[in-house]
Amino acid sequence: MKTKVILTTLLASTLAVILAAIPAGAGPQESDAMSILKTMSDYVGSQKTIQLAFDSDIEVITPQLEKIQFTNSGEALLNRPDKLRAHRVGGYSDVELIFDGKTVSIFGRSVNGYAQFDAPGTVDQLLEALRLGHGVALPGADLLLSNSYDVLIAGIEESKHIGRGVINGLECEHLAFRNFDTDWQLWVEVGQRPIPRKLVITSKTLNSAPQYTLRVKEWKTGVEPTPQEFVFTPPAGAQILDPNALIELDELPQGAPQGGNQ
Amino acid sequence: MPQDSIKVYVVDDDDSIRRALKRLLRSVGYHAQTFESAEEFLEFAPKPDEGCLVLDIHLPKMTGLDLQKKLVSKGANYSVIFMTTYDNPHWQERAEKMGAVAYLKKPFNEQALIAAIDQCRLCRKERIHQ
Repeated sequence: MKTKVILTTLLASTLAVILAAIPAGAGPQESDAMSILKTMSDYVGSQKTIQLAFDSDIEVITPQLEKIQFTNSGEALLNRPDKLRAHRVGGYSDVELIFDGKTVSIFGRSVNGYAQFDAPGTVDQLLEALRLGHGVALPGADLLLSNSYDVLIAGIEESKHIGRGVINGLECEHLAFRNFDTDWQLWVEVGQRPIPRKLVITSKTLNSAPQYTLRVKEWKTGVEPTPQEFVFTPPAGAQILDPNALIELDELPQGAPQGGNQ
Repeated sequence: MPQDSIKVYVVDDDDSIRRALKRLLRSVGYHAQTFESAEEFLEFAPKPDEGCLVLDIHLPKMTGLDLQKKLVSKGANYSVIFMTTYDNPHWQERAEKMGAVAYLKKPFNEQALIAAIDQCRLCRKERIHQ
């Protein structure tokens, strides 16, 4: 009986702590989540130029069930409708993408090689073509699309406005979405500038539920890039890569992480 | 492990699943090529038409099972591993009848997928030596 009383008290205390941690009025609010997502999409889509810096983390589970996280940093410069320059550097690759509205060049600094494709059209069309035709993963790039809301809501089965959180000292709306095979969370800055500050994608296909995390550290609009910033000039000695070799420019190494035993 | 001895193709309509599986396979040394739909795989599938096909059953237009049927009728030589969220015994039976190497119910363990791909590699090795 004494055990039962202690257990009941413990459960009640735990529940009180949990309830205290949930902000008032922050229950699951589906329409709020979709409306905040739309506001973000409209704001981002209306910006002609965006310059940003980011950090990203990718989790991989080894066959020995060890979770390893690979980290990268990068920056991007978008000039709608048809110019993009993006750079990502991590421990295993240093990759730059330059798009001038006609041709996309992907340069691997660590291998001093590049691949080029004809891709006449907009940045929106380029991102779709890279994803489908060349298997180049640009997670988070959907957030920059001029119609990101339409793309992001495709496949959503459930949405919630969790409440608020703070990223880099900035108050953000915290949204959570469930798709068939993935869950994803988005933090959108509160105020006049509803920009994406953090994205977490959780894969539900694998038991270990690996996550991809993207954090936007800096965000500027209204910059005026010169046309020259979207011109790719191959460095001396750079080799032309087989398009199939683009996977070598991924954010993590080929083969299981080794490291030294302690 | 001679992972480069077999090509792995992943067909799943979810972008993040394709990325997660590609990373998992890459972490153990397999080069995987990913496709968003059965139609895209049929359009871009490289030659020779063999290797290991990791195939989601629940695809928007042509299902994974229909893709396997089409490939079998064309005489293609893929070893097929099915993935599905829905537990449907008829699908499993149909997949097994058409020679699927494995039928993985999501979510599955990483080791289960790697083990199934290893099995595909061994099957291919046996076929070559026959």
